[in-house]
Amino acid sequence: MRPRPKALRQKRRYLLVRVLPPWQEIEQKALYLAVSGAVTSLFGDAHAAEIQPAVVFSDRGCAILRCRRGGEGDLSVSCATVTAVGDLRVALRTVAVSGTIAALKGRMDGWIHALPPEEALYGEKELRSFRYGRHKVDVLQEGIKKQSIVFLTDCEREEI
Amino acid sequence: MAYADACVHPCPAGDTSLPRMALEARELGFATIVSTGGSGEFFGVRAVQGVVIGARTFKDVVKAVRRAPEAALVAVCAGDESFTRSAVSLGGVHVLKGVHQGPKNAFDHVAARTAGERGVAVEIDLAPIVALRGRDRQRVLACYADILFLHRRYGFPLCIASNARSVLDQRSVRDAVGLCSLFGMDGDEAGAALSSVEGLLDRPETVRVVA
Repeated sequence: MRPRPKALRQKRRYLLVRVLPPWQEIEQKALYLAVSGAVTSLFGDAHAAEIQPAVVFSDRGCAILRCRRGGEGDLSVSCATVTAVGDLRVALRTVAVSGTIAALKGRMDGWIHALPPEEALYGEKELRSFRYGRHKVDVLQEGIKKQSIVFLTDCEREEI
Repeated sequence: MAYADACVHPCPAGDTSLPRMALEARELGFATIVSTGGSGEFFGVRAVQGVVIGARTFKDVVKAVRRAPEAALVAVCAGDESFTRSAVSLGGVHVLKGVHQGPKNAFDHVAARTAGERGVAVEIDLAPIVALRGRDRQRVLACYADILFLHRRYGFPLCIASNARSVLDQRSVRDAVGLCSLFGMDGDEAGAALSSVEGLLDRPETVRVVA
């Protein structure tokens, strides 16, 4: 099908979203299903069809979402209600809204993306931890039932 | 305006330490957090001690309010009609919490008028809006719309809390305003609600009998 002329195309808006914790590996399709589900649950099918949410890009702790112009506020509120993607607990934080993807990718350049895990000694145990930002440390704990995360700052090793 | 998150639950209630919650709150646009797990100043964010009283009888509430530290923000969970009316009229109570969890008439016009006269804030908890889906969330939104109607009529303060037990549950100022717009709160009202904690802490108190 031939693309429509520019004047007849729908205007779009793009949202830059930070995915927390940034070291979780999240598939683009799973993220789309979570966002789409949140929009539908919050605003219903009719308004979700107007917003037209989509995930354009997703990699290493950030994602770019697309919607129709005018729906960016509602999409941003919907992102705030996303608590999990698949089985993984995450939070989506809207950072910026723009009319072009290029502008948002430019903003991502200075970000600190996911870092490889490091083994750190907490008390007597050696646990896997992820260090990012200036002070943030996420520590993975092996519990009786399953793995859990403890969110700390770099000066709190004695918490565990 | 200095915005405040009116209630967070760091370790051991949640999986996040208080300094990490303060660090995250700073990134999200808050200057103050009310914490049920300690107080202090971390990364430029002030953490105020918060006391949540979930007692069954009014007698227990009175005892717990007396035991609360002087600089703490005291929040009482709403109960049935008479319990809530008594709670908002008790000196030393700053916030009425969990109205959406109480019975249908947990917070009526009489309690609203008393709260307005005594300067007791009603908490808007963002956690159920974020976490719940379907009919449960609709019920919470309807309850908050009712509180907003009474707030506009009687002028009692509102405060907004994430009730986060993890950094993943914390929401930014912009998200909080967006979530509050779902039940009809406009930007100015949301801004006032986010900055009401300072006013509650500086509220002139009546003389308190401690012994």
